[in-house]
Amino acid sequence: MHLEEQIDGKALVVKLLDSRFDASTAPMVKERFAALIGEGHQQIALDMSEVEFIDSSGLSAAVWALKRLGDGGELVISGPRGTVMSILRLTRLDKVFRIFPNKETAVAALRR
Amino acid sequence: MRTGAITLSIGSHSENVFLIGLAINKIAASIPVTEQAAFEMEVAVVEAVNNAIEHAHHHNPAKQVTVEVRLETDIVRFTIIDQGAPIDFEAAMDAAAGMENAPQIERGRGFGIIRALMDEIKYQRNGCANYVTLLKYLKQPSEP
Repeated sequence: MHLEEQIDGKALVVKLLDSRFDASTAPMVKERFAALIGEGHQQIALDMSEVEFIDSSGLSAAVWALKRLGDGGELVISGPRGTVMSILRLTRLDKVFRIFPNKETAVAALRR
Repeated sequence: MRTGAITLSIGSHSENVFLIGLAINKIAASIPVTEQAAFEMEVAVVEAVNNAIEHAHHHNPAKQVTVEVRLETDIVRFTIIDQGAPIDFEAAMDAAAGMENAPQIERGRGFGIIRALMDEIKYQRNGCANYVTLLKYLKQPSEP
């Protein structure tokens, strides 16, 4: 998985650049999240606007990062496409994550 | 709709699963279902293959996971075959039913997703192999 990271004030935007967030790419994303959280990043937007396919491994990596952040931080999701959003709804993760249509609205929410 | 069957096999390595997913999506796109339904079939089959790789074959790339796809006039059947230990299918289905109440769990969503996306799931143990069959019923054009 290729990632793009961008710091915007207190918020860090992590954009997934590959189209599949699945069992082969999720471990690397999880590893990167562990490093970023270890470096002190607490407000993270996971930009999924390029992701066309997600499976339970991708979902698990995102939930893992959210739990790792704990009460002091937050992971939000930005830009999910219709297919990805349908899986987030199906698994009820739309009730666990705050989800925004794009990274700008996600970052604005994290700044508040 | 055209009918037919194909068998796909991969070594048990997560890097290979996208090939199964892409093939399923392309096959599903050839039948009268929406893009969303084709995506859902892809997700369900990928979840079943992931389960086989992780739980049955423990990521041993020498072991093959096979996916049989059968397009019939009113149904699509995907059978995922592995050579792992028998599955406690009832327990897996019970756990899947609990997914709705515990969305924040880190792992164990696979069967829950399959159950929600497909019309039926069947399990058979034949010899040393597990056969997990996922069924999707197709609406006939005459139906409302």
